[in-house]
Amino acid sequence: MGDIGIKISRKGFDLDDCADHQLVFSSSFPTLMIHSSGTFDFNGVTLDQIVSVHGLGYAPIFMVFITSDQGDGWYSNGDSRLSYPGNSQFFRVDDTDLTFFASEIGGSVSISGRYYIFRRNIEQNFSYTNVDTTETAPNIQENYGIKISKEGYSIDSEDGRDYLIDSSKRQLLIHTQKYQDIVGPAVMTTEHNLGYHPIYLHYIKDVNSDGRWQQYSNADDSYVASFTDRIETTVLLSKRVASIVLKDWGIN
Amino acid sequence: MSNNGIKVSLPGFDVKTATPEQCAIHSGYNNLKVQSVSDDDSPVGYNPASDPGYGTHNILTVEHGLPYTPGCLGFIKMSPVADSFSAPMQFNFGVTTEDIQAIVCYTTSTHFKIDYVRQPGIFPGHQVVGTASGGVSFEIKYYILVEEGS
Repeated sequence: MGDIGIKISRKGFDLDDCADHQLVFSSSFPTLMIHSSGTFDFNGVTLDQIVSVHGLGYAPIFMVFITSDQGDGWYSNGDSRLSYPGNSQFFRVDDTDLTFFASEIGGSVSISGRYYIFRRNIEQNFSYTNVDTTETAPNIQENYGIKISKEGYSIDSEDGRDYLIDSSKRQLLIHTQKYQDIVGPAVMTTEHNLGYHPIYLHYIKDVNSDGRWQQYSNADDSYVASFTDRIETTVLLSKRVASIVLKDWGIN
Repeated sequence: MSNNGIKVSLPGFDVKTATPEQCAIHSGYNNLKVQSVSDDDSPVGYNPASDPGYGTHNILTVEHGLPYTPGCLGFIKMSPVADSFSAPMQFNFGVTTEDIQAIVCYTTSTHFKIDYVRQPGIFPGHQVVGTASGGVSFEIKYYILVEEGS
């Protein structure tokens, strides 16, 4: 395969000298492509509830936003102030479905939420290439760009949800991805060499010994720290863990 | 609707046969996009040194300007823990041996908000980053998404 590809810079940035994270997309980098999305309402539930049957045949990367029982908002990534000592509420995924697991001691759980399931296997390695981290200031004044609307939607729409690609909107680009079986307590190191703290997603498998993956912060069995050249995943027990490192900046 | 569209395959895959998983772009599938991001040079900071006590304490409220409730992501850097930067979602970590302290990011139909929450209790195994109340300060970077969060 020759060195053929396509990339689009974000509005205002020169494609020739911008950093990877200033791109809208590049054919070198996977994106978080949405397989399915929807909402759910669970009232007074305990134990396993199916959120969505995805049928992908692999455990996909997912995100969930949920309401809180104590506030008026929708909380990021399926976590909220629901999680107090004595309670356990996890969103978990396997080869066939996404489930909500509630095992609150002495009661049940009522929540609403929205889920996103992506066309990307959690158990997958992806090595970064063509790392360009030299950030440039926006210096293109002309109103150039590219927009691709979703099927059935007008290219003149002013609603950002109607577009697959809009060069005024950054997409989350996957920089590198790694999974590994850890014999804990131990550390998995995911090198990224970006020179800054990237944002990332992290999953851990089999916390409840049923082969499902869940996002890390719900688990008592691991924690993650980000450095400018690597992500370190500390696992207290023997588990399989996965890190998905994105191109985007976190905090320096 | 006709079978029009666009596919861009990842390196090493033939675009004519590539599955969605083997593509960087596939017009049959939407991608997660970002509406706005906190300033790279001045992340939201918070230092609970004055010990606000138990409860929920709002750190930031900004209008997102969208006619719906968007999704959001939050990322946090804790000081003085050198080079430590925790993951998205709720940040449960015991700053004292008795308390949960958490930074939570969420959206309403009109606003994006960040709260600092302190509650009694601790999750065993969660990362302990300080030894005393007020011993840790935070910087928070947030992403407000184009896609809905409700």
